[in-house]
Amino acid sequence: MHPPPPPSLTEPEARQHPERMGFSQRGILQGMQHLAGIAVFIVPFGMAFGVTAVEKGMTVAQAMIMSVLVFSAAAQFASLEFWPSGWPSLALVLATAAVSSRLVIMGAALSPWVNQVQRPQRWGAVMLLTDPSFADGFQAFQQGGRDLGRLLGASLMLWLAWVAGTAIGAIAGERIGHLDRFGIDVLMAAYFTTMILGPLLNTPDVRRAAFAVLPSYGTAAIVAVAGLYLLPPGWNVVAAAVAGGAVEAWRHDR
Amino acid sequence: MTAEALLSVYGTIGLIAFVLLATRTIGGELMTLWTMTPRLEAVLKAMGGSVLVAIVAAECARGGLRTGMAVLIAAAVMALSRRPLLAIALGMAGAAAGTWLNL
Repeated sequence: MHPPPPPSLTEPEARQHPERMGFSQRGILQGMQHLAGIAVFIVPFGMAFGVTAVEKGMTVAQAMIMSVLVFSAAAQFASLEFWPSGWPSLALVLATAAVSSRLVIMGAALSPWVNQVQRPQRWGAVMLLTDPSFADGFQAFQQGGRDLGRLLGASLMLWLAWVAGTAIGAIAGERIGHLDRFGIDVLMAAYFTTMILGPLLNTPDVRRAAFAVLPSYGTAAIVAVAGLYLLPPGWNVVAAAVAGGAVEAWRHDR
Repeated sequence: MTAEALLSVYGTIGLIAFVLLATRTIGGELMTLWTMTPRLEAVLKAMGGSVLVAIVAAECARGGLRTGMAVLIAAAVMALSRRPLLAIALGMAGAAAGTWLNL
């Protein structure tokens, strides 16, 4: 009998403790409960997409199916920038990958725990991965949580809210009227702002963390705005991501 | 919509869904091949954050004073309260006020 594993494992360490992680229905329900509060807030977010999509010319069915299959605010809103002539196009695919690149990092961050189970269960746990469910799952596992069902449950709750919101927005679209009256059109920008600041505020030395990201984020902002006018639609985000990463690669260790 | 147009709409949705599934699963897969160095982690985090910054910056450029104000309010509330839902709600309220004031 070896001693209980430490709460936070690196990938090699995790492989030595296969008995740790499970995947149960109870975990799924627990995850759903934990994120029910945030899920309520996702409904107006989904509505914003539903209304905007229909306004651009998508049908109700198309908007809903997209929310069901894609489940990504960033990717779905970004794709509307390309509607209709850029559906499909290489730029759309690259822009989608760029706005979804956070998910790669999140998947890597969860891997010490997620990779302990077989592939079908791994993919089941992460297939609806999103920012709040990542944040919830990551801290739960770091504190010793063992049930990957929690990750799926949390994601599932948000997915239901997103799809419901899309449906309401798409169907009631015209009757809701102009989104800007309620400020719903800035919802994505406000949400992303909190997601940018969240990790910085969670560090022991916030000022230092802020100064550390300033070069890359500052560059990204400039490239994004310049690209808005100089590049074809959507490419400004791709360029900003590359520029920000390049600046960080150059700056790191200096 | 013509059959052709329908195919490109649903085909594109399928394509986007595939990209999302790939990005959700590939992080874990890559970690079985390589280990994370501090530098790589910093670069990936910077890229992910840069995408968010890019979207917010572009939205502000397009939306002007009203959007910029809403983002500043959300940022300030987030920094002071550490409560994202409050920050989003107040940012939206600021934008609603901006509409009312014809900004």
